[in-house]
Amino acid sequence: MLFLRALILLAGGALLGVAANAIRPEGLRVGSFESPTVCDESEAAGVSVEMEPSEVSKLCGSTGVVIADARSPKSFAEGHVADAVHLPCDAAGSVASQAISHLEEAKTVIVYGHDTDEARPVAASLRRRLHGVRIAVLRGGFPAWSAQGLACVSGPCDDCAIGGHK
Amino acid sequence: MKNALSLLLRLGLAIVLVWAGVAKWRDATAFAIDVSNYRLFPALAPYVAIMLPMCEIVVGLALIVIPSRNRWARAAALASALLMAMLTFAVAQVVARGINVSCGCFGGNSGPVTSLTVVRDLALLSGALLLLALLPRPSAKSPH
Repeated sequence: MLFLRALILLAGGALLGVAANAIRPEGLRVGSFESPTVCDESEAAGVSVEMEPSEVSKLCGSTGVVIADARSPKSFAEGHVADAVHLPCDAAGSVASQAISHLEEAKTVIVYGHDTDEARPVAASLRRRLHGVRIAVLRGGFPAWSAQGLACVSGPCDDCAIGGHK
Repeated sequence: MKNALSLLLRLGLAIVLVWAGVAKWRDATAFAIDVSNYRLFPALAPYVAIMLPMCEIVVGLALIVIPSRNRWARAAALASALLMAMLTFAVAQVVARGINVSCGCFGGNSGPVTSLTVVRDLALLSGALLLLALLPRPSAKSPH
């Protein structure tokens, strides 16, 4: 009887979840949900796709391409890739939920940090959460970008952070 | 002493379960993606994403509101143990298979699954089983 009661509690919770999801405006559409497709085994293994600064500079301004800065807001304010958005993420590289929704319409997101290694966990976090978006890492990070004399700007982070990006 | 420990376990488990359930429920789509990334029956991910958070909330609330002498209190303890056993298995298989995945345990920013996640879930499972052992059994005169 004890086990049956426990199952009743769990089943009640499950049914409540289904019912609440059905009446929730932003509810999950179970029938049309698609798991993120893993097309590339190297990506599935957590290996980042890396792009040279010169390759990335050719994509600047292209439709659907977002360049994301994974460094601290302070570093971002001191200088960043032109048109890059600041990506709020924690020390483990997990990107804040509110930032994800702003990247969902992108076709390609290129992430950079102080170096390649700093951007890799952020790219991995994005790849797990953005379905159908190509995620790449800027090889060498921001130092490699600025060393090649490519366009960079400085300024307060608030104007460029994803949350306030127009 | 026994009653104090029982109360402490009930409160602790209830807070963790309700907190985890609400955090998952707030962004069910992100949680469904996290679940599918566990690569354990990915086709079931959307169903898990809508059912599991509410199961956690219901069981968590049951742990708080049901008096300890009520037979449903032990059922809530067992239900929390079953939930924790399932979650522990899910994170342990991720660690064993070396999959790099966002935990999703407490919503979007709960960090990656590591061996520490497994240890934390094992501790919660142990707490639930201890609570089940501490709660009084129904009296003999109760009907079957």
